[in-house]
Amino acid sequence: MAKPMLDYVLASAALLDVPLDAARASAVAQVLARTAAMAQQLEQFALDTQEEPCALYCPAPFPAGDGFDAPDDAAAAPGQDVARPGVPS
Amino acid sequence: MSAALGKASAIAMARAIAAGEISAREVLAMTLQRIQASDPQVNAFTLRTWERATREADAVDALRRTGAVLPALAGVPYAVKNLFDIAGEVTVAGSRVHARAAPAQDDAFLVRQMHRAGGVLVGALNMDEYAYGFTTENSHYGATRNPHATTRSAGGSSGGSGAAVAAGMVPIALASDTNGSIRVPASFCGVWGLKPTFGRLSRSGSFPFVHSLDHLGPLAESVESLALAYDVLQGPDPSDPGCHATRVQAVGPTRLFGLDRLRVGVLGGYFDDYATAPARMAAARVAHALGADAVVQWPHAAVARAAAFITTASEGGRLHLNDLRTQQQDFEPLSVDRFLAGALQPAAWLLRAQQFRRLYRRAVNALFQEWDLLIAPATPVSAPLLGTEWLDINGEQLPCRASIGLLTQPISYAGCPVVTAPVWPDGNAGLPLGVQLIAAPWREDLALRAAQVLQDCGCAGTRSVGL
Repeated sequence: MAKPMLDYVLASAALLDVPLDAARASAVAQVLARTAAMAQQLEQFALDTQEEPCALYCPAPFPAGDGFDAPDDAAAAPGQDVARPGVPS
Repeated sequence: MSAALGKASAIAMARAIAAGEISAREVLAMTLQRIQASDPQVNAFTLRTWERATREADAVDALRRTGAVLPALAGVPYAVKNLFDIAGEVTVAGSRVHARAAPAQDDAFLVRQMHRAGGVLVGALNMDEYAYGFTTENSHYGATRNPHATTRSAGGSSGGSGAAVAAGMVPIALASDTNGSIRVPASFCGVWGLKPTFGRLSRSGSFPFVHSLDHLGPLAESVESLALAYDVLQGPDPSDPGCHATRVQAVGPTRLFGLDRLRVGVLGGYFDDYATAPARMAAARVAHALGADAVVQWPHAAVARAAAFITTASEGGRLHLNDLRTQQQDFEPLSVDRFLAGALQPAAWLLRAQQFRRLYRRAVNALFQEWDLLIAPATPVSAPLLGTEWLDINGEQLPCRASIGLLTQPISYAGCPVVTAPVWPDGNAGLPLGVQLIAAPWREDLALRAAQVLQDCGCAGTRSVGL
């Protein structure tokens, strides 16, 4: 394991008061090295500085109306507030 | 009513009970018999709540005797991943550390929803410790074995949920999905799974893994049962700040609408690169059945997977930091290094991922202006043998436990709803492989419509096991 990564693991673990023996520190450094490669992908991705981090994630606004598109010949109007279903007939 | 009802669909059970053809207590007895016969070979259950189940079944029978209209799942047995609170029981979340916690005082929100609908809770199900895994190789409670091939993984982290449904022990199981933990067991065990939109179902009373990514949802033996369970689980819950849905949008009325004018595409690029031959075959079969021939590129899939990985590690590691300080020796050996590494990750990585996620949301939602439904394999491979360390994915050697989620992580990072359809590729040793039916946020109805079409035409569906 590269020494800078191992040094980072030992230093940050000490800062956070997480006990690590030598074997565990080495294993953690290996995991972190793999994650660092993924972080590199993110670093290389073009992001504008105006791009704020997302807050509490919401994939899209919850639809205000009935958000479903039903076929023209639909027998029932979907997507409306409904009572809980009973036993299916 | 025959003893075979013990393995029947939730809807068949509910109908038979409502019609007075069989009592809820009799259905429960058959279910418990099935669990006793099958579970020693599968190890899906970590807790049996049979006293409670008896009380709930008796309450259903008492209600039926009054002539009242029964709720949707009256008398239907189900089980939950052991990260759901069950009143009076310890929520272990697959861990030894939390096995020492106090019992839950109340049921989780979704367990309460199932109770209101007449469901009969028979127990809690095995999982990877704290949901950090894709194989349910749990050193504390034993590995859950795949009912279709007991030397193989049931998937994870909700492996107990997938296996219990696949083995016919329960028709419905509840589970969680942070990076693929519903979709992977559904794929490996050959059952239907629904990961709803992020924010659709309340997570109150469930043990968290990654607050910004955790979803809850059902697995089931049929599309009908999946949709019915999903409808009864819905409901706004202000106690979960991540529950964005403010009303129920039932899919029961829309499930049978068919494909009418739906624009369906197949994900290529990243999703093809990380699929082995059986996965490609499964996706192709679904594409053919749905009339989809256009290949679509999902935006920034590899970066999204990296961002999901980093977000998961950081939030998950921080969540357990105190226990990592004081009870490290009691953590799962297969995941403790990942929890520790996550807890030590630089903040800059997480913030970069969060920054990316906003842009990513725009790109994914723009894609769904052009498409209603997108198809991709749920897993690169079928269920690997338990203990597998490395996967060969098209000549590239990748660590097995981390790579099983390659095809699910980009989708859940966007929060899109996904139904996993169980497909059985030819020449795959009888093993299933799931296909993701991915829709825009809040459009579970579209994914379930396609799922119904696939089930009706025989392209996808569950198969019985010989346990």
